[in-house]
Amino acid sequence: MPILSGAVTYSRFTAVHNKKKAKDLRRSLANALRGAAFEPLDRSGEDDRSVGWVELEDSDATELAPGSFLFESYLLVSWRVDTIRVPASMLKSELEAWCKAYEDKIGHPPKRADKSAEKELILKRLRKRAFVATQTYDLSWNLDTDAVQIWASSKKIVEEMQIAIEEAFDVSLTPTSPGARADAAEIDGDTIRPTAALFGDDVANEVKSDG
Amino acid sequence: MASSEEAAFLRGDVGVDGEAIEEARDEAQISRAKAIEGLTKNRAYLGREFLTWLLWRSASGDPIANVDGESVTTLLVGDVVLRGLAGEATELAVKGHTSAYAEIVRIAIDRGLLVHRARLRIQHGEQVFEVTVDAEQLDFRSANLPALLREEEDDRITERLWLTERLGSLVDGLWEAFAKVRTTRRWQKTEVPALKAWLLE
Repeated sequence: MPILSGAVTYSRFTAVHNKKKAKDLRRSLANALRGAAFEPLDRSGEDDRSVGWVELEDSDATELAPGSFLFESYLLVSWRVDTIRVPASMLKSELEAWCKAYEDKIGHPPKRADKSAEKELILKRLRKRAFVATQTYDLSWNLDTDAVQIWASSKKIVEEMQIAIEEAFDVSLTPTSPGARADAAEIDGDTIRPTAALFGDDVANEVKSDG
Repeated sequence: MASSEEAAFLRGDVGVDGEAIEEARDEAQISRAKAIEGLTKNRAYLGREFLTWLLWRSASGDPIANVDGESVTTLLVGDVVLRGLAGEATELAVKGHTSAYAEIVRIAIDRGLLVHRARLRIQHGEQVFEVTVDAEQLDFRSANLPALLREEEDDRITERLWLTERLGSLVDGLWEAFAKVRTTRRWQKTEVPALKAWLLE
């Protein structure tokens, strides 16, 4: 839980509400979080990844009552990501053993289709005893200022959480990138073209035409 | 060398050994295209101009911005990464505590490689923060916050959140100081020439 301790790495956004804030904010936030609460992976199913909201101080808790995520003027919650992975070496070794047994019994190697079908069966069997990796990433949202911080360093996770927040809370998250800042300030594009004296005329012209 | 071969050599299609160099040229073009894309994405070129401007402005040790009535000074500490296009080079990573101010970095900036990632030490009143930022997103990595003063756990969480937001407002203050000059004629007229002159000092 990086919000509570540890490395301070986060992406910053400003939340812009697409609708008026709900009158019963606590209930509305709880419903939004519960709508995308974490659900454990089904080992007998097809999915090898499951994501969703959990309580900040207990990554197994998905009740998400307002008391668990509202802290003074902040909404604090975690995004849990579970992935199930069957080691490729284990799959390969089991498949090779099956191919050898098949050839010994039938007298020729299995056809590609048979091998592929067996691979699926082995995969399903191995999933039941595979290790599930769990990771959590925190979200802090100052509900007074609408400053949103996603505490993750992976771009993929930040983008995934950004989409989840926008969908759950019906907001748009504006990042703090130079481009987003320039757009938000409605700065004329001509004013902020690359500085040729710094980048070189050729590069500045190329970026100009690209941009 | 036959005349057709010579013409091909002059066009840059073959090398001195007469072998085609298309593959090498393609790779160079791909590298250049990537560098241009890196500049354009999220207007990262503005972020690079910002961090490069910050390097120059921080060299004097003078305050760069003012947030909530207190001046903000900054210093680039630790490793620095420069990106852009300078001949065949598209990236330069320099290591060392204050390597950002090294002569090699100034030469590289003068040739068109601007600061893409740097670690900032920001002083605001008595508080000192450190954070690594990149030009494309201006996200915060591995930030060091001032020591927490509160003892109760709940108070410490609030203080930590307050400090992370404070760090955000300080970087925003630095950005605003940059944007204020970047969007005026002063940028081309006096700021860039002064920065270029500093590079050659």
